[in-house]
Amino acid sequence: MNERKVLIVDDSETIRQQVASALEHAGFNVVEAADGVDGLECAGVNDLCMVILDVNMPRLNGLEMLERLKSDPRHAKVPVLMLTTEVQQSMIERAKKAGARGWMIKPVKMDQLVSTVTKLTSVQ
Amino acid sequence: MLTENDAVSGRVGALVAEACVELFGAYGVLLSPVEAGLDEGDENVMSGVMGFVGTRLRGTCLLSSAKSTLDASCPAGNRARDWIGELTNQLVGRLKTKLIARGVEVFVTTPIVLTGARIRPVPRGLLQPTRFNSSAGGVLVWVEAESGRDLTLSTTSEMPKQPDTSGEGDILLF
Repeated sequence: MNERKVLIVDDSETIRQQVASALEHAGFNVVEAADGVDGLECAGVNDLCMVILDVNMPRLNGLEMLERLKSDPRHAKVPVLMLTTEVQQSMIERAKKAGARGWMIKPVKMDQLVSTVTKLTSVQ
Repeated sequence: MLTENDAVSGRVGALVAEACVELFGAYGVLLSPVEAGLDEGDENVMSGVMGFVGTRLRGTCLLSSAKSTLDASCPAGNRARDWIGELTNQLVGRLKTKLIARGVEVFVTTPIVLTGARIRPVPRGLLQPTRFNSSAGGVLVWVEAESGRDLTLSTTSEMPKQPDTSGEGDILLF
């Protein structure tokens, strides 16, 4: 049983803090990573119930991190929500095929984000 | 081969300016176009620079903002360097969405950030930067683009809205 720990991966510290603050207020524990490489390291040492993932990031982008995360049996069932400015259909399809559970367009509507995280983590 | 085209650059510039007003509006800052702007004074400004590239269109976008405007638009904390980078990312993301709606696909880079006073754009073509003011301070946006000879960009969206593509803030669940 995990402790409702959510990983937010975004190269913007402002976005990470905004998301973390909203989720912590809703009772989640939040860990943060600034890019896909740090995100994978973070996922390796934390028992996660959910990952929120930006797409355009330095070093390793969100779609590449998603594919690597989902290929690891330890994380295959962890729900992943993409949080991005991207609306390119090919990217959305790639995320869906890789196993993401949803796609959210920035700017973030925090109430919707919190309710979606609550919903996706309660049906695991 | 992609070359400078004043008509296409003008359309891309108009789309970026429109996206800039929408973006700051989404964060509670109302922008109005003005003739003179940030590059005219000694105020220290933060700027983000980000590229976009596709087979029919490529270019670079600059977003400059007074620190006071950044602070007013920032939803959490007070990190001007981080926030101008994120705003530039979201601005070019909005441009990309508008281009997709006109049948043009581009991919984007990650933003770089610079700061200083009296950093003035030096346009190589006819398109000038668009300057805005707000109750919080000034904003400047500038884009230079190169396009294929046959590319035209309409003033309105030509493509039906993709049913699977959410609007901003919406969540599409799979």
